[in-house]
Formats: sequence, C-alpha cells, structure tokens
Amino acid sequence: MSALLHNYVIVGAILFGLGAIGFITRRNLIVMFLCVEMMLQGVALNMVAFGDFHRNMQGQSFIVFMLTVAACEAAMALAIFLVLYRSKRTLDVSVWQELRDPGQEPIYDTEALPFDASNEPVVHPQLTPAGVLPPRAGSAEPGVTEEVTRA
Amino acid sequence: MAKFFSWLVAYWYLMVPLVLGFVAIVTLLPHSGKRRVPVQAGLAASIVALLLTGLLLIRSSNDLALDLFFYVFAAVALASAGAVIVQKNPVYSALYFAITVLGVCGLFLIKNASFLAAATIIVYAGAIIVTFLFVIMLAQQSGLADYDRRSRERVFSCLAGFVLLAAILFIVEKNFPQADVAPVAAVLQEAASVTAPDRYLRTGREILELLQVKGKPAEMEMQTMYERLNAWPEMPAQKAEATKAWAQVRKQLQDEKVVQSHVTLNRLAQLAVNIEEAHNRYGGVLGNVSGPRAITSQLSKKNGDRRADVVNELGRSLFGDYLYAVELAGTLLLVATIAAILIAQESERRKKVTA
Repeated sequence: MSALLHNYVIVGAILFGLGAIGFITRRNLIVMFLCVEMMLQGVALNMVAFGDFHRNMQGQSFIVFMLTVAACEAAMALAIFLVLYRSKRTLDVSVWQELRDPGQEPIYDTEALPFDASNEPVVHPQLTPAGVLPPRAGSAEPGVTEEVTRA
Repeated sequence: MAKFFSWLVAYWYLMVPLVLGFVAIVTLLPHSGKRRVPVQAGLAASIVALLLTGLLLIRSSNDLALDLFFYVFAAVALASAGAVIVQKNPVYSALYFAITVLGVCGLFLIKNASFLAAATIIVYAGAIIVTFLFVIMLAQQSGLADYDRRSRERVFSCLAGFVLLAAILFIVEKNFPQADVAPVAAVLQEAASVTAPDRYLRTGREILELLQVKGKPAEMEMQTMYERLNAWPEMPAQKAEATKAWAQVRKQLQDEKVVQSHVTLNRLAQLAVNIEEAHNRYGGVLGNVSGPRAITSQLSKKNGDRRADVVNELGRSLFGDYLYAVELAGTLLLVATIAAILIAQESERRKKVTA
C-alpha cells in the first residue's frame, strides 16, 4: 500500500474547510448539522491516514468512537430540532438568539427578504417511474390500468 | 510583511485553486440579491478549482492504479461536499452528503480500513441520512423556506473559511516538503563512477567542476535539502555526516587524491539516496521503503502475534486495548437514545414523565 499520506491530509483539510464555510453561512439548522458531520469526515480521513502511516490500530479505533459520538449527537440534535420546530415553526438558526446572554444586543438581519417565491420552483428528488398503477377502487372502468409517468 | 509575500510567491500553487474555489463557492451559495455572475460561471470555476487541486496539490505515488482510485474517490467526495453547502433544498444537501460519505469510504478502503468503510456507510449513509430526511420531511411540508434561499454574510464567511483552509494547507505543505533529490544523486553517482580505480582518467579539479547542479555546487543543494527536511528525526545525524564528507571530498580532490575520494563520493551518493527514502517515507510513500509491515493492535504486539488481517486487528484493538472505552461508548449510546426520546416527546407527556 503506498497511497500518499500528504494527499489524505490535503483532502481532509479541504473537507474540513468546506464544512466550516457551510456551518458559518447556512441558516438551516439541519444543513448546518450536515456541515459539522462533513468536518468530522475530514478529521476521520486524517485519522485513518495517520493510523496507516504509523502502522497501528489507534486511528481506526478512534474513528469507531467518533462514529458512536456522532450518532449520539445526531439523535440529540434532531430531537432538539423537532422540539424547536414545534414551538417556533421554523428551522432558522436565528431563532436561537433568544438564548443569548442578558444584556447582549440581538442581531437583526439587514438583508432584504427575497422575492416572491413563485418564480423559484421547488424541485424534490424523484424515484424513477416503474411498473403500472393498480386499478383504482372508484375508477369508472374497473380493470383498466394506467401507465405511470411520474412516481 | 515581506516574509508573508515571499511565502505567497513560494506557495503560489496553493493560492490558485483556493482563489478559484472561493469565487465558485461565493457565486453558488444561495443569496437573495441579483446574480451578477451566472451560475454556469460558478460551476466552471468550481470544476477548474477541483482540477487544479488535483494537478498542483495532490502528489502522485508510483502506483498508477492506486492513484487512479484515489483521484476518483477524492473528486467525488470534494465535489459533493461543495454541493452540500451550496444546495438550496436541504433534501438535496442530505443526499449529496451521503455521496460525500461514499467517497470518503472509498478513500478509507485504499488505506486498509475496510471495516470502517462498511461501518461508516451503514451508520451515516444508512441511519443518519434517513433520520435527517425524516426530520426534513416532518419540518418542511410546504416548499422552500426563505432561510434556505439566502445565506448569512456569504462573502465574509467564505473568506473566513478559505483563510482557515489556506492556513491549514500552508502548514501541511511546509511540513511535507518536496525534495528533488534526483539531480544531486545523479551527479554524485556520476562523480563516484568516474573516480572508480579502473576508470581513473580525470584530474581532481575536473571532478570538482562536475559536482554542479543547475550551475550551483551540489554541496549547497544538498545542504538546502537537509535544512528543509530537518524536522525528520534521522536527518540531523545524516546532515552532520554529509557536511564532514563534503569537506573531505573537497580537500581530497584539491590535493588530487582522486582514488581516495572515490569511497567518500560513494558514501555521499548513498546519503542522497537516504534523503530520497526519508522523503518518500515521511512525504507519504509508506511500506515500499521499509518493507510491508502488518498493521497491528497493541495487544497483538505485546503477545508477539503477527497477523495481517485488518478487521481481526481492529477487533483486538477495540476489545483488547480499548475495552473500557468501548463499554463507555455503549453506555453513552444508551443514555443518548433515552434522552432523545425524552426530548422529542410532546411537552404534556414529558411533564408527566419528569414529574
């Protein structure tokens, strides 16, 4: 095995940096959390590369614990997001400003709210269409099947 | 300040992909203002930045197949990592994050971590991503929210992120210096061969003139290499030996004792080869230099047990070296699960439980 340690450190650093940018700049709590997980992936890459470099198992063992802690963290964070969404109906991170220290000025968003939403269509991922729809219960012609064009 | 600029000049190859990446991310991040730069330009900049990263920052080992796999997995991981942070729709962000995890797991596989690759795919791409999508579906029934359509201070936060990245890359490049030993070693080997006892044809002065690399004395080249690589443990001793040998060679050649200088020149050529080996070992090419060594846990090392099976050794490491930590991690998972259930409950029922 002769993959270069240097290259792994570089790729890990770039993953870490991109995650940091996403964490600072995105507003959605869930996307911010994904970015933190991405930073963790960058660190994990370093751990594996250095473990291989020193020819011992410490790097890999550490990542097992990292996975454990990341899973716990995800469970807790998502539970908290759900509670927050239930009370505020939003996943915007600025809502957490209410938890700031006493005497601290709130930060107001000077950026104008964007646009009307109508000219920005929301595209959700779709599964590829497959098979035929079963006959509908109340359809006029029983037994006639309908070609599925969109899932 | 002058030092800073000399650094910039010395590490220009870091700055080019960084600046391009900065432009790409700033252009592509969701924002509410008018798009001054079209999306296509941002995409093109990101592709060029990725290619330049591969070209300028990533070094090739001497194994073509391994390099090819590395390039593919790294490109997949980095491209989808960029997509995670610029996507407006969090559903797509989560899916791209799954692809990033797949790329990283490919990189794990190259580095002998097959069990971890499988575990990471199962835990992240399986469990965590599904949970994320579940929460997104729960919390976002009607279209994109306005906080997904703009990002906070995108220029300044990108600047901060890329300055952090530049700092890390500078440090990495400084600590993994590239040593171009080949010309020095070649010159030394040639000098050693023309001073061999059966080929003794030249005077000492001619051989002294032979010891040049690109118009500079080979001695100076070797000294600068030692200075750049002096963080590595065996280098100071070798540097001292090389300095002594160079002084000896110079004296011998000036005194026209060409036959005696042959041994010393051979030794210097060997030292140059040593630099290259150390460079490969620390700069990355591992295993080829010191022969294949198995990756072992501390338990196996203590017992003198020699196995090459990585999964086996990981098991021994976890349940031998780190048994307490594994038990603690299990407890942590249990506690976190209970806490997550308790937090996510409706407040009425939670009051009842905690009362």
